[in-house]
Amino acid sequence: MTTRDQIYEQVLSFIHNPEPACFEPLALLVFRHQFATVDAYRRYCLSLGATAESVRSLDQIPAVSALAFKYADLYADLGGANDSRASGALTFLTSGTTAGRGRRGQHRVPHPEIYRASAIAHLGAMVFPDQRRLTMLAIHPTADRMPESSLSRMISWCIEEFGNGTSLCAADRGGVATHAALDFLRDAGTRGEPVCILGTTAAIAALFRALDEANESIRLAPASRLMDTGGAKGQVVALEASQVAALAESRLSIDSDHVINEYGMTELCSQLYDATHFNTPRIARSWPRVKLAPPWLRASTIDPVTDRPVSAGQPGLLRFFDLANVGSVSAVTTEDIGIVEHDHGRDRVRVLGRAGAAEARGCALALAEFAAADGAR
Amino acid sequence: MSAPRSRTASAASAVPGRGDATAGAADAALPPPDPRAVAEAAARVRAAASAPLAPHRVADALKAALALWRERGFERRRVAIARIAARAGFSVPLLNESIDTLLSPFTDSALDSLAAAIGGEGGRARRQGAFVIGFVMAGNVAGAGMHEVVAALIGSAGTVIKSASAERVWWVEFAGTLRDVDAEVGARVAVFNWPRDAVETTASLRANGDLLVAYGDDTTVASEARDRRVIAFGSRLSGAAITGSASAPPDLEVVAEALARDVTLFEQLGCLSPHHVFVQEPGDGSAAGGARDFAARLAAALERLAARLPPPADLPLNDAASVRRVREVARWRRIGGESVDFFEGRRLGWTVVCDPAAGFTASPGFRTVFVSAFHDHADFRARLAPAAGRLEAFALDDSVSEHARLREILRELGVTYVAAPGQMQAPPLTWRHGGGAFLDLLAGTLQ
Repeated sequence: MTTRDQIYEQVLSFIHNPEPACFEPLALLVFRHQFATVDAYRRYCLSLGATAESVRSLDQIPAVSALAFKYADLYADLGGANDSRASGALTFLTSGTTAGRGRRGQHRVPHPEIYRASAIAHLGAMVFPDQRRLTMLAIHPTADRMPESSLSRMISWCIEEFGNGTSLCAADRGGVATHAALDFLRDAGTRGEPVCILGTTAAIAALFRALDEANESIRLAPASRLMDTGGAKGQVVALEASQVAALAESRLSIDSDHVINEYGMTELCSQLYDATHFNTPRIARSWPRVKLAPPWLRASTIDPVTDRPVSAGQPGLLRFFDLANVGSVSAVTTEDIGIVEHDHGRDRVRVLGRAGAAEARGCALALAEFAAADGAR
Repeated sequence: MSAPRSRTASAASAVPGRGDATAGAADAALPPPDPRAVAEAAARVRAAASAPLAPHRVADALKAALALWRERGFERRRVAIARIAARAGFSVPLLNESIDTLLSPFTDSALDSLAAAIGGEGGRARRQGAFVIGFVMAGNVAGAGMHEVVAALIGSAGTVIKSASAERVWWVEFAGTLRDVDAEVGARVAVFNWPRDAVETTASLRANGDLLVAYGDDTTVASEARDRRVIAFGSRLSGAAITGSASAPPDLEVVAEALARDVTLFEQLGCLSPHHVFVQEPGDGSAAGGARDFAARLAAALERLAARLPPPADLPLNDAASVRRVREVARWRRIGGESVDFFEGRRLGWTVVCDPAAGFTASPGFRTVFVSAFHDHADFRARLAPAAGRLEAFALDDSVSEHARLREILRELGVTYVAAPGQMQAPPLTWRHGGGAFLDLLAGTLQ
């Protein structure tokens, strides 16, 4: 029998040395562990007629909606506060903008070292494939300023792992300090130091607006790069990914191949990144870009009506199995629509947008308008 | 007078052949009309509306046309429904019953009464001469806008109708019927379709009409509503209340059956479709007749109705995801220990969420309905307050003694139509849709 510690070790080992053939056996092991230790997940599985014994393949593992993290405790019961892992656990909260009930999703991560290993390994491969250490500009609060944000945690890890010692966090809970950020970029540009900018798409849009208002462009050194995430969330007038790349090139002299959009969520410990010629030399250029999953994150698309996988190349709700989520629930169905291509254990995903974000129909009210009504409960 | 040769006629005739129920792609290939064609059509319908026709002549033409449309075997109706069903994915039985219900209030006597009310000497046309109303239709419900178009015609207006890209059939076929029964009355209607981004064509409709009536999402309506010559029917919602009168307890089975039909018709996509049902509970919510009990009855009724009026075989991905989201929230709130129950039909056929403590909640449609409790009038008002100004219709059961105060509350919250369960989709011709400004304008009481 595999012990709990052995499962965590196997996941960590897989992240460091992925072997595609080992993914499914390990995923089933992780599922059984989660079935045994995550009470709410076990009850959900049983309601579907799924048990530790009846599930025999990856596609039979019941997936929870990402929404589940808002309403149920989905983390492994590690035996109380005496457990050393329980005491080292990190808890992240969703931004709460889409819950509609003023409630924020919660993802408790009992093994931050697995989260860190996952985040850093794929970030390195996709944003730092040249293995350079760079000057860092965070335009989202770092973990010391916003400990409940998984993005903040990731940015802090990124600065620790890939920074050259010069960095600035030009954001706090109140917003982006655009003047400080632009001063930092001007200095780096003058010194010819490449910079890595990290933050949300909304924050980078704020920087672009400030540059636009000043009718200014900053010539950053070659090898500068930008990692943005979040897309339209938080933006009054959403910048498309292609616009972000174009503005980064025109306003900051960042090669568009060095503009890498991240797709991630609080509910998953692993992320996907744009494939560009910088990190994937043979990839075709197109918009929306293909995002690459790390080998320990499998993607699929499902039909929301049947909950079954859709045909290859067809759009559906994105579903992931994330080995790095070993301490909570690994199989998660998102609220996003996309297309998945499988390529020898490396899934490629085109994210098409948030489900339910279509225009209101006729007399039917846009659901978003009723966030206030929901919040009144 | 024969119907003039016009772009209207060519647009109508360009609709693919009768019986071609899969012709959506051909529709989509039609080029948008030139703005000048809309201007010319507006001039033609204005000229047609200038011809001296007595209001009863228009009413008679409408009676004849509507009598044909109430027949399920009428060719134009049959074709329209088949094509709408194919395009929208709705079942033909569902559309037939929905259209039957929509048209049921358009009786001869109701048309005569409307003609007397807005076509008489006090009517706008009598006092100000011929005028043209442009309609920008929504595509969510086949026949949506029927009340206003009929009122406009009876009010002696000429009408230029921009059908919705998602539903291009209804108005073409109805206008064709009107031309068939009375060419002079039919000449007062022109039907076009163009995409929303053909802004110059829309501008032509506005510029060449005296009034624009716009249906649609709030973004559209908000931009239109800044113009005084625009009447906007924006996003509106409906609900129902079941009172707990001890002296005259409602027959909950009957009420559930009737409300299930109100929810089901038009796949719950119209402004008259109930989204949320509130059940009065004097005390303990677990008592028989409470919200949970009614939710179970409503679920059973929706299941029975789904057998007779099948839900769409496939939903568009976004719509399916929205319904699924409602289910997942309910499922996980329940797993998380909250006092929420839900009932679900196979696939995403129908969904009932019983959330006793909830305030008015908008549904994504497709037979997705919320059920909650209320305890007294103050509680009822509080539950509905977040939707104030966005409520269109409410069903009230027959416990009359309870209703005077409830009606008052609903009126204060902007509800324009209160009906018995089962009658929500059949408002009278005098329905003050959106507050009544349109009818008032036709009647000449609003300038």
